[in-house]
Amino acid sequence: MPSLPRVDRIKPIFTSAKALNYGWRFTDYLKIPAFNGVSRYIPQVHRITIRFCKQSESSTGVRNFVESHLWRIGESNPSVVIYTQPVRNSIPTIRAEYGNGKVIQYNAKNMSEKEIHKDFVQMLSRGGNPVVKLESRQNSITPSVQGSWTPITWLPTSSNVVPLPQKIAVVKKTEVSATEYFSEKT
Amino acid sequence: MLARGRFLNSLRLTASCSRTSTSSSKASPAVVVDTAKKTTEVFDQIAENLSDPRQKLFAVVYVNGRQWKVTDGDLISLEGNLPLAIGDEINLEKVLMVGGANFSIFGRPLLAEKAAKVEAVVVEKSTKCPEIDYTHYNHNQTKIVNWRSEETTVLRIRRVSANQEFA
Repeated sequence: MPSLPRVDRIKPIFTSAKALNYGWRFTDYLKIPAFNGVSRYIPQVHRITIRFCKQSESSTGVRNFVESHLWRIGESNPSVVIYTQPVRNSIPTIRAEYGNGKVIQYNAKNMSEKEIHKDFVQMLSRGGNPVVKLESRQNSITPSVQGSWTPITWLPTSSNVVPLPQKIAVVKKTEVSATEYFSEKT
Repeated sequence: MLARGRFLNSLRLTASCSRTSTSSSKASPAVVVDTAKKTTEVFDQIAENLSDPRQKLFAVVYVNGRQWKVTDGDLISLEGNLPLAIGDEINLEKVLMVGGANFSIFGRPLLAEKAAKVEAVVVEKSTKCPEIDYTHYNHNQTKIVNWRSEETTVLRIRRVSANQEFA
């Protein structure tokens, strides 16, 4: 697939849009920053900043969210610092900063209270790594404890035992080999 | 190819020299095994293996509609927004088998509750990479694009342990 899907055709736009699923994407293995949860779990989100306007129509949802949910969420997550910034005539945004230095920011313009609540909870529960396509749903530093299987793992060892003298190939020789000499004598 | 040819050759040789091989061609006679004794022997060996603190165990657990082979420190991503909070510590209780380097214990189909313990922590609840669900009806001016990003719950397997008195 080309890097940019072609849109200069009338019909096959269908095909190119469909191909977006199969095009190149960032892929990664399942990762969690800072070995989190190996010994104990440490919440990764450090601070969340909500920026909104006190009068404009587009930040109504954010205002309602701040009024009705934010206090309770803040109380139940004591490790997170939550700032609310009323800034006049601004586009409402929610920005979260994580322990690994990543910042995630949502534009909350014209979003409803419910949608914002969902996103906010999502931000609280994320680890801070970017969302990319996963190579595998599982990640392990010990892929196998008992060792990986090979075709000869359970092969009976008796097949290695060969009665002597072993005739690998019949080669005509004038000289008598030591094995032949010995087998003739006995 | 040479090595393989040699190997086949040797096989053929062993097959043809039937008169030289005496014990291998005959079926071994049936022997009555003392089952109780054998069982205790096996159990003792497993107990010995389990008493080693450096013994790394793995388990096969049934979570989220499929079986996972997990060891200590594994990450598994489950589908859906499961009713778990972040940082919750849970035990995965449907354990189908537990194994170490030298042994494996299978359940029928599940192991007993006390036999094996798989501890896990919920470390992340996030979404998957979005997939496009695209519907197009010809000659209809109809194109429906849905960006689907499903929710996931990531577990960290803390510890897989087995009890010596599993019988």
